[in-house]
Amino acid sequence: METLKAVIELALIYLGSVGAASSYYIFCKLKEIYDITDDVGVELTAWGFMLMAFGLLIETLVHVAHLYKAVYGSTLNLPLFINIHGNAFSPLPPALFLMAYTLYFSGVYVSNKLGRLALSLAPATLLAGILGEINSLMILMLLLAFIYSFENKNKKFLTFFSILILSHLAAMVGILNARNMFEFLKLAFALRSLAPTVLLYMVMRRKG
Amino acid sequence: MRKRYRSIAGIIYDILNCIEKGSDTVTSVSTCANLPYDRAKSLIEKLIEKGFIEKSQSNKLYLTDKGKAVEKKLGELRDLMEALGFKL
Repeated sequence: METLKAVIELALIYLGSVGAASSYYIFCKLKEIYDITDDVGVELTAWGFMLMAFGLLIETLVHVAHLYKAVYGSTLNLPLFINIHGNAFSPLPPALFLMAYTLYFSGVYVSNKLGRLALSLAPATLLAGILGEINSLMILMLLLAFIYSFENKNKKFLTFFSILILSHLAAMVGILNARNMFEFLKLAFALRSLAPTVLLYMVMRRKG
Repeated sequence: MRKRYRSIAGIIYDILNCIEKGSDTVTSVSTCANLPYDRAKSLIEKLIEKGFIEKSQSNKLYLTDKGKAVEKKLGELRDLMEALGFKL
């Protein structure tokens, strides 16, 4: 059982590292475009991906702590972590992801001059505030982007956001379901790590 | 008809691409890149400042080596930009 746990944690660490590296790669490419165009929207989106990379990196560290526990039996304590039922957990990544999405959408909306769509974030934020759950806010933000991309028939954008929406749904279900909380959070992390990797794969594959 | 917006990256790519394909005056670039004359003129001036475009003695526009590299790079990054939701 401990071996299986260690293998799962190792797989999650691998996925998280690749996801963080992919997000950082996208950040670098967007910075290159910003240097050419001086487009503030591109710069905002670039920093969104930097925060996403940072969030994934911290979550990967959380799984390093879980792997440490599965292998050595003792808990790895780092200042970033808090412990719930003996499991390391960091409150930072959800906040980083929320900031990342805000920067991302602001960037795309500024660049594409979509003032109306940017304004639609306000009722979404209000509704999520009433629901009182950070994942629901992120799901609403992503749904808006999903509807917008659906109009534009952008398949890569749709796939990227579908994976992210599923990830936050899994996290939300996990938080509401105390019995299987950590299984759902692991699934959410795996999906979140996959999103930038799948996006890059789709872009690179077309390039050949 | 609904007006089609492009991001600045898309517009700059179109301008550089038009010059590469032979448009060598502000008027021909504005027609080719589907931009109002004044907007095309101010963007071309900005690209001249950045060293992507130069004017010959006969006032014709041409791409510098830096401009050619930038046009190639923007062409390569088009897919990524579109995948992220930027309009090009």
